[in-house]
Amino acid sequence: MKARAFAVSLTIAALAPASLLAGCGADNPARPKLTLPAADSFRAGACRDAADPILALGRLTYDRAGRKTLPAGDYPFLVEQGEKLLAVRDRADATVQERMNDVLAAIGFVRIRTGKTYDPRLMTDLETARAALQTECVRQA
Amino acid sequence: MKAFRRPDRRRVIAAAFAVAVTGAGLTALGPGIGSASSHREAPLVAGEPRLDNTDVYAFVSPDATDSVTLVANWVPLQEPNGGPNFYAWATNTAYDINIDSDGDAKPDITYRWTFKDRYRDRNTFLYNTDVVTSLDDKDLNFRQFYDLEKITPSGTTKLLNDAPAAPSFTGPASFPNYGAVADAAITPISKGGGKSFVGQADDPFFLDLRVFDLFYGKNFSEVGQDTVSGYNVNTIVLQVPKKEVALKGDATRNPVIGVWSTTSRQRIDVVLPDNTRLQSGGFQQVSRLGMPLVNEVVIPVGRKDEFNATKPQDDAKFLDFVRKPEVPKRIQDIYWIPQPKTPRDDLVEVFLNGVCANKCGPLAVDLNSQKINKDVDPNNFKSSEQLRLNMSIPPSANPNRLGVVGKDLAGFPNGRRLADDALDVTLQAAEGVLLPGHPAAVDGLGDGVDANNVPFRQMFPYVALPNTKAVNQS
Repeated sequence: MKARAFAVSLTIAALAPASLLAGCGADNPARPKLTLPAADSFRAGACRDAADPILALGRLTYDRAGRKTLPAGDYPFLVEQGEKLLAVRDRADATVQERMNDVLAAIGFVRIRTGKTYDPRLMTDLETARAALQTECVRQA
Repeated sequence: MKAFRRPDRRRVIAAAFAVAVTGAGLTALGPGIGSASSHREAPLVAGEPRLDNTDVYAFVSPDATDSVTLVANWVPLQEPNGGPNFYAWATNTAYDINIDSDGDAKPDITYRWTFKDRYRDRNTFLYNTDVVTSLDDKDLNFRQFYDLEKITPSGTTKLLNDAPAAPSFTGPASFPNYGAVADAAITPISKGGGKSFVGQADDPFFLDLRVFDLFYGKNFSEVGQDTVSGYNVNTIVLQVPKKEVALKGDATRNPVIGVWSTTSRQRIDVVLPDNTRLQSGGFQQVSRLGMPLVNEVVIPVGRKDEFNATKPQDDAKFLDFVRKPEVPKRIQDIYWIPQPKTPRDDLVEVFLNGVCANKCGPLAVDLNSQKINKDVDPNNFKSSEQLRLNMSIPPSANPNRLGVVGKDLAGFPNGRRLADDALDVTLQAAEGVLLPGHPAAVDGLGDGVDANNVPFRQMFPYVALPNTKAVNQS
């Protein structure tokens, strides 16, 4: 029994560095696969029009989760998605507008804290805001 | 992974202050006390670099804790090899460091440096004609000397007469041991104690000035480069006993001082046919600096020259620029980060009142307002832009570049040390780091330049020796 317990701890110890390195990133095999709603499940109107950037951001936050740096190409991508949200924001109802503003602010903090001031939690915050917007947009669809 | 929590900055400051004060045994401070920089910041002074204040620093001297060190810099962005005239102080000009210890926004003491030029030989183009090994070396052609006066409401005392300024560092061939020559310009002050150093130094400020390219390239892609790295400034460093600057000479009862520098030139400048200049008409203030970056990014361009001419006692006219600052609006426009709600009483407290528990503002802890001084009549207190220092807070054993925001109460905005990261602190403050419930992501804002390009010296005058390598070769 002792030998088995020792073997289990050894396995955990051996796996630990690998899982630490993997973090929460897309390469972590233990991490659930990304599931996103279909664009046509977003309710019609501003939400449906915002579906593409909301889903695109979801793919980005999933892929970048836990990373300590972001590729340079992410920044113009974030701007592009943010501008798409801005283009429809004024047509959205108040609650959706508020959620969009949260997403835009979260994008802003990712954009403004580049280089060594970047923190992976910024991406977590972006996903939290994005998920809330998605939930609001899919609700009552 | 946890998302950012939202800290309550008041509690952080209060807790940090309690620790600092208790740790130092400074419980007798008084009731309630358990208790940009501006390089070429305004249109007119940008054309008059000799008159242009760049930064002011004030800190308890780390190696002489019964004294305070005041540093004021002028003549920004000096390329080290900018001969043949290099970088002189203006003559017929008053370079002042002002102290307000009673909070009425008027100087209780003005330390004034005025300069004169001396050439050994006007028939050469050279600043120095051969190797210079001492301040009075015969090969040092151009020299400057200064008088230092202490001006108070009760009169003026000459502290130094004809003291030498250290020359510009014209290069290693000319000055094989520049440090020794420069240090010989450290001049002791017999009346009241202390010492004065005047000369050239590495610009101690560090920041990425590409903030002016649409806030770092609209995507913070332009950060992390110290724009002033390798450039020099002209510096005045004064170290005096705390009691010399404290209200009623009592730094225990009255530990807080406000500090700002000014430059005043003669009102009339007549150019004669041979290019001789006749200056007269009395002094007029043309440059001013207390808290860093205020005139640079708070005051709008149409009012910057006026701000440079304004005395702190008249600062009320600029109040709205602090209460409704432009920087957070611009960041909101570019980065979609909502600006904190206005009016910004937190900024008014930090920039105009100093931080205190007695009606200074929302931070409500005693830190560095003159109102903390026991002998101050709070009714005579006037809001004004100054760099305020509580001299009772001892130097930190482990300084944090973020100063008070980094829980190090011995740093900016409680005074300002050379290594304090004024840009990061100011950016974070503008985005609401002192407000309870602010987005935690604000805490990490910065320009990616966290330290000076060269280390500071550990003893007076603390500033680093001037750079000599061409900036375009750095």
